[in-house]
Amino acid sequence: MNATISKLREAMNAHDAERMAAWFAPDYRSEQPVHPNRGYSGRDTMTTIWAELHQAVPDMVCDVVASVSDGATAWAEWHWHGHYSDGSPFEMRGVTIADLTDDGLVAAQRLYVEQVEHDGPGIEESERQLRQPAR
Amino acid sequence: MNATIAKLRTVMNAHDAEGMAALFAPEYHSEQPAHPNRAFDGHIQVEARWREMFREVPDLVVEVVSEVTVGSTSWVEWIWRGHRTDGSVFDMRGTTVLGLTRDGLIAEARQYMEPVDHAGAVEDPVQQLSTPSS
Repeated sequence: MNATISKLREAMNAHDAERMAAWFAPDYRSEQPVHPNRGYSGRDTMTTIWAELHQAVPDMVCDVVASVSDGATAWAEWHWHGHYSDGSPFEMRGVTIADLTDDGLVAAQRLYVEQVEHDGPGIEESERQLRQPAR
Repeated sequence: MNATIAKLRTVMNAHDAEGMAALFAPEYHSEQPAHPNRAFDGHIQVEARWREMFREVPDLVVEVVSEVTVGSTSWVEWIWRGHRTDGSVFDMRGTTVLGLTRDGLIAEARQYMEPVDHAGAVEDPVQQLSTPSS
């Protein structure tokens, strides 16, 4: 596994947002292409988001399902899971694509990580809904 | 780019569902880990689904944003974009993690493709995840 992804996973599982931040460039840029309005810049915002998340999901565990590196790009497939403080389940799956600096810091990232939909429709119905015009 | 992924993009842009199915192993297994109920098996299903897709999104164009293949695994970042028959925008982004056979057929996929949430409010990125969705 790419060293940065491995260190990030460690810090995420230690619920240590400051330690996570040490692996991001100060001017880090985050994008969620599926949610264009969620883009932001700055390592400090990342730190705040994760400190809040660790507080909200006190037993959160971050697993790397698979990962690959290609030059300065590190791909990771994640499973983030735990429970909110009210006991309800927290579960997200997805892929992150990180552009790394020469020092191995995350300079930019595209995140495709979504909440797991346990009670959603099957393949036929879900694809029909995607393809067909909204009524 | 990996040859299978390059061919896949070509047949998708040619709206050739049969050509797509030929790139998948007969016992192909598809999963969408964020939507566990959407799993299915079989390349015949691929053909049927994409035939519908091409009919209902007649100007569909797919782009590979980035791709890496190491060993028998291809990681692909996609844009799938067009318009439905009523003119409404069809816009999906995401990634697929594909397991390939030695012959370069796609034997399994974990798909993380989602419709782009253009109307999404400018949310506080902190609030967005750290609140139960109930």
